[in-house]
Amino acid sequence: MTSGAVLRAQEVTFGYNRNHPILRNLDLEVDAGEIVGISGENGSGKSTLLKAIIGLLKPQQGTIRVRGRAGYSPQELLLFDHLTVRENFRVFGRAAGLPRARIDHDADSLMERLGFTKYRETKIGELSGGTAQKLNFAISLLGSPEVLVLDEPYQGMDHASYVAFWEMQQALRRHGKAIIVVSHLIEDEKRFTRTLHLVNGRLQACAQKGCPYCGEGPP
Amino acid sequence: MNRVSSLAGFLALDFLRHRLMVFLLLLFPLLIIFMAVQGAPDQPVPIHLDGDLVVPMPAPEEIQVLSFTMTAVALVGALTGFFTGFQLKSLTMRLEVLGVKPWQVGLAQAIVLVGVDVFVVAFAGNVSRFWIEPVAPGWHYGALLLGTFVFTLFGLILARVADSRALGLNVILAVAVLDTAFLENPVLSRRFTEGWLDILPAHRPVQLLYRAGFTGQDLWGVDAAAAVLYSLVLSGILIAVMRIERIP
Amino acid sequence: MNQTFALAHSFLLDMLRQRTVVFSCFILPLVILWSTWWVTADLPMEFRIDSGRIIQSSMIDIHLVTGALTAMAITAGLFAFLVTAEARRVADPLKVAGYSGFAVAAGPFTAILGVLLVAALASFGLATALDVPQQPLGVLWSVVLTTLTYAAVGALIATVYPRVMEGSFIVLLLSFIDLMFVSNPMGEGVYMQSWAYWLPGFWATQIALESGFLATDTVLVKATALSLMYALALGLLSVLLRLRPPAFLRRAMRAA
Repeated sequence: MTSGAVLRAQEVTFGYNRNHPILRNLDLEVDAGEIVGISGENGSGKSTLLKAIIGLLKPQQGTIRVRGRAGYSPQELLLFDHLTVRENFRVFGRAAGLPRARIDHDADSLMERLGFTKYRETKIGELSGGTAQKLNFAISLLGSPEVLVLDEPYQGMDHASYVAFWEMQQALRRHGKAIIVVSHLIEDEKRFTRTLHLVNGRLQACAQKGCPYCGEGPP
Repeated sequence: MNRVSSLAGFLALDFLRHRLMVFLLLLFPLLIIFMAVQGAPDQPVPIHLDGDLVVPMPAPEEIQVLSFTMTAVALVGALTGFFTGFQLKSLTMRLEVLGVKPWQVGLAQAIVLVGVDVFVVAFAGNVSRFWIEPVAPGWHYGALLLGTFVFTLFGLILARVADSRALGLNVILAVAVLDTAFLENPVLSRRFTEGWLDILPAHRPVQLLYRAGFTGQDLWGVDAAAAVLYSLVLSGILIAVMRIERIP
Repeated sequence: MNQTFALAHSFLLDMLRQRTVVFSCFILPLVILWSTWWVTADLPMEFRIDSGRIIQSSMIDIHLVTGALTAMAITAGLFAFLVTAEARRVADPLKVAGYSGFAVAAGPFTAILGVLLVAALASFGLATALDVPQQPLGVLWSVVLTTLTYAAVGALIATVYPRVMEGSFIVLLLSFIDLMFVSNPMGEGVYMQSWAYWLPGFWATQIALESGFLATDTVLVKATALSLMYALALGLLSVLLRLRPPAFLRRAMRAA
C-alpha cells in the first residue's frame, strides 16, 4: 500500500454465484483522512463491497488489505432486541476487547453527540427506528477504528442527528481516520473528499458534468 | 475466555427477557405434564423395550408422565436452541467484525443453552416425581438431559436452515410432539417396538428413561452411548451447515 | 365487490407464496391427521357423549376423527391468523390507495373462507379414505364447524396480538389442547368436565364423535347452534375490537 493508504483493494472479484460476479476486478485505495462516498443503483453490489472490505465475504479473486481496526455500520439493524441501549454498547464493546469503563465512557459521549442519552436504559425493541439506527451507527465507533465502513448509516435519523453525524465524520477525518460511506443522497456529495460510483461491478470516479450517476442529467 | 463469558452473560440476559421465556421454561412443562396426568388411560399396558426387556404393567399414569416429561424438555430444548440460533445468525456477523471468533460465539451460546437445558430438566424432572418415583433417579435426570441436548442441537440446526421463525416453530412442534409424545409412547403408539424408530432423535433417551423409571437395568448400555453418539452426529451436522453457510 | 375480490386474490397470492404458510397451514395438519391413524394403538375405548349415549370403538378410529378436527383447527386457526395479521398491517395503505373500508375488511375474509373450505374438504376426504364413518355428512359438517370456529379464533388472536411467532404458537397450543385432549375422549381426566364445554372445538367434536360412530344423531342441532354462535361471537368480538379497541388493548396492540 502507498504510505497514506489505510485500505487497498486490488482486482477484487466476488459473486454469490461464481458464474455471475457482482464485483469484477474492482480496485479501491483509501487514504487516511479521506471520506469516500460510494453510490450506485439498487442491487449494484454496494453492501456486498462493504462486506468484502470488512472481511465478512472472501473475494474469489484479488486482495483486500486494511491497516488497523475497521468499524462497520450495516444497513440493517443488528442489535440485541431485548437488551437496553447501554447493554448493547457493552456487549459489542466487550466483543471488541474494551474494558467496561472505556465502553461506558465512549457510549456516554456518543449518545450525547447523537442525542439519544435519554434512551440509555430503553430496550431496543421499544426504540423508534431512527434512534435504533443511531445506536447501530454509534456501535461502529467503539474502539476508535482506523477505518469506518458505513452502509447508509443515517436512515431514519432526524435532521439534528444527521448534522451531528457529519460533524463527527469531519472530526474523525481530522484525526486521520478513513471513512467509506454508501449513500444515495445527492446532497452528501459535497461532504465527501471523493465520490465513486459502482457500475457493472467496478468503481469509477464521477468524471464530469452531466454524469448520470451524480444525478445531474439523464444517462 | 473473558469475551466468551461476557458474551454468554449478555446472551442469557437477552434470552430471559423475551416475553415467552417464563412461559416456556416454567408454565409449558407444567402444562404438558398436567395433560399427561389427566390424559392417562385406565388400561395398563406392558412396555417392550429394546433388547427384549419387558416392563410388566406399569401404571399408565406413570408411563404418560415419563413420556410427556420428555416431550416437555425436548420442546423447550429445541425451541430455545432455535430462537437463540436464529437471532445470532445475523448478529454473529457484527460480533466477528469486532474481533470475536465464530467458535467463541458458539461457545457462549452453548453455555447459555446448557444452562437452560439443565434448569428445565431439573424442574420438569422434579415435577414428574410427584407421580413416579424412578428406580434410578440419577439416570432419570440423565435420560431427560440427553433428550434435551439432542433436541437443542436439532433446534440449532433448524435455525440455520429455516428462513422464518414461525416455520421453525411449527417444524419443532411437529417433530418433537410426534416423536416423544406419540411414536415413543407405548400406550398411544402401536409402532413403539418397530426398529426404524432408532433413527428418531428421542428414541434412545426415551428407552433410557423407561429403564431408569421402571427397571434400573442395562443403564450403562447401548442407549446412553447411542444418545451421546447421536448428539455428536448432530453437532457435526451443525458445524457442517455453519461452514457451508460461509461459502458464498 | 370488484375491489373485494381483487383484494382477496392479492391476499391469497401473497399468503400461498410463503413456504411457512403452505407448510404450517396445509402440510403439517395433514401429517398430523395421517399420523394419528398410522401410529395410534389399537386399544378399545368406551366413553359417553353429551346426550348420554355410549360409544365403543378402537382408539385408532377415535383418534382419526379427532385428528381430522385437529388438523382443520390448526389449518383454519393459523391461516386466519396470518391473513388477519397481514390485513391489519396493510389496511391503512390500502384505504389511502382507494380501497373501500368494506373491501379492506371483506377481502381477507373472502380469501380465508375460500381456502379453508377447500382445505376442509381435503381433510375430510383423507379421513374418510382411511376409515368410513357411520354418517359421513355429519363428520363433514363437524369439520366445517371446526373450520369456522377456529378461523374466528385465529382472527381474534391476530386482532389482539398480531405477532406472527407468538400468535402461531398460541393457535397451535390451543387447538392441540382443545381437540387432541380436552374435547377428546382420550383426555380421560378432563373430558366432559363442565368447563370443557366452553372450548371452541367441543361441540364440533361431539357431532364428529356421534356421526363417526353412531347411525343416528341426537346432538346435531344443539351442537350446530352452539358452535355457530361461538364462531359468530368470536368473529363479532374481533370486529368490535378492531373498530373500537379499549385503552388497555390499544396499548397492548401498539406494543405488539
